[in-house]
Amino acid sequence: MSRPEEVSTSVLSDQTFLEIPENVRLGFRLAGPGTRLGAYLLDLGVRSAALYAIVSVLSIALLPFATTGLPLGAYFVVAFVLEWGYGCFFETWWNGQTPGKRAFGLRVIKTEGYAIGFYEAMIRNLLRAADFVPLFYAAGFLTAMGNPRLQRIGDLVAGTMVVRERKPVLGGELDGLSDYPPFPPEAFRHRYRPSEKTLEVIEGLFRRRFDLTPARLDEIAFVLAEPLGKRLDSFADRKFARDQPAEFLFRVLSAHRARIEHALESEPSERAGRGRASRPAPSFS
Amino acid sequence: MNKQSFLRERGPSWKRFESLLGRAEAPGKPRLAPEEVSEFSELFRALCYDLAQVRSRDWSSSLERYLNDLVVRGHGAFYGGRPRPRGQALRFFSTGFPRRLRENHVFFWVSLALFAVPLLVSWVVVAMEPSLAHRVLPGTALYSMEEMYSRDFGEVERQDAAMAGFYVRHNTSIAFQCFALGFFLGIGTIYVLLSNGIQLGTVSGYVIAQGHGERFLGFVCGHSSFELTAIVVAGAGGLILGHAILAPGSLTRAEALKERGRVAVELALGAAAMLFVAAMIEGFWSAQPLPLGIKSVTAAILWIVVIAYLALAGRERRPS
Repeated sequence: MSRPEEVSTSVLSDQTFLEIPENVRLGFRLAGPGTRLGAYLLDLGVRSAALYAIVSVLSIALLPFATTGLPLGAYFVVAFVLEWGYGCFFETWWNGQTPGKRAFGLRVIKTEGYAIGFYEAMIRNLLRAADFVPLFYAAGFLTAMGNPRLQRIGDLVAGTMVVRERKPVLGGELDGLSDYPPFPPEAFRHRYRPSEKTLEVIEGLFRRRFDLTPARLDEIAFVLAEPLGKRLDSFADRKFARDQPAEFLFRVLSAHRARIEHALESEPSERAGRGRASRPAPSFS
Repeated sequence: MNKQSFLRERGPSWKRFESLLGRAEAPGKPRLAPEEVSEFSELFRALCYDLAQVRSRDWSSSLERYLNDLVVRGHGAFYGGRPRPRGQALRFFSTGFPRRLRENHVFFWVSLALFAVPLLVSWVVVAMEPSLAHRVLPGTALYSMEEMYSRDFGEVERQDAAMAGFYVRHNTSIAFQCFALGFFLGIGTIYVLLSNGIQLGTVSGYVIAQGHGERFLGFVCGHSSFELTAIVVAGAGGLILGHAILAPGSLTRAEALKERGRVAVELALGAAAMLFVAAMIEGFWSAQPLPLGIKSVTAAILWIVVIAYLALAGRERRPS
């Protein structure tokens, strides 16, 4: 197995790239300080709750030995183990995630893209002491800001990075598109069909439709709706494209995307009854 | 082939890969069956090809993102052999750790010098001139120290287990900090070693000068072997980190840090285990009201155990 080769990391980007043995370039989205802080605070809460719960149970269970100080001793040991071992334990056994990281969709991986093991988890969590200097992770923050993979000191020594992991979803992001009646493709002259690139742009606008005011949405949509409208046959359609550019673009998108979404949705149920043998062979054609 | 027919043809195999991946990533026992592993690898390669194809045809960035993310996860699951530390723990402490320390003995001796020299100097100086102790430690700390050793062990109500737990947390945290702060060119480690050495020497010299020497030594000698040695070992780990940055040799600093960091953390782990033993001794044995003779003999035995462990355990048998 050849080692994956690091390709490049652009300076102002939240991505880092890696070429893997299968000869494709992978993009990893790095986790920024905000989400990492959120995950940290959540973990802090979980840790405190765990300490409280364990100590409550122990102090009742160990009540007969109270005169020897066993409950208090147990508290110190549990607190110590949680302080230093919490991150290491979870990142080892949950493959680079703690409860907080899982909730925020983060994962620690090696800079080579592999899953981390015990030693990586141990190193990056012990070195929190260095990241914390002088107060509340100032050194860690500055170090992370100063390197392209956003690694804090513990990550640098362990050779790890924290990435954002979205559960890959195929389709689904165009939910709500069916509210727009498909714009009839025949309305275009010469059987014109927008290119995939164009549809992509409309998709991007569609996903952001709630972040923009309607007026601004139309203003942006007009830039694309105007040239598209010129390819329309009837005057009424052209007027529609100019007057309601966003509505027009989304209906065009709806006409072309509905079929693709549909093609995927039907597949799993179609396959359900069949065995493995009928799986289409991987095509390298 | 257009995007739609591509999706229809390849989609099911991605879905299948997703479901295999979900099981491959799940923690715990039930992973993939042997024939599923080869299916996984087959699907993975096909998926990589699909990703390259989608990129070259500029089909859609959402599709590209989906495939990219799937390959990222697959890559991690396929190549990332997760080592299981379970069986290794015993081997690490019986042979791995002492070997590591001997391989890096220079750092150990430097760390020892940084800790022991200020300890001995301040001990001797303060023993001759006890008032100097106030320059190192606040009066209240000295007073409580003196208070503590002015009574016999039998007199005070003892809470052995509580003290043992406290030492586990307190001492090991200091050792971990001593290790981690070595990242700052070793300066943090040197500071922790020097300051702990001076404080320990001062307290020893002061308490003995106040005439509580017998009780003090009786308390301290038992756990001293494990505790003092462990601090020096953690210091050695910190110095390794600092050295990796200062003198990375033929590697880049990042590579040197990664390579030496693994060694350094092993020393920190070993130190933590030794401090655990020290805390148990300190909590349950050191405060026992026993004659100094018994305590010093035990302490001598424990020192021999520590030295023999670090110097001899896990030696390679040389063919002579």
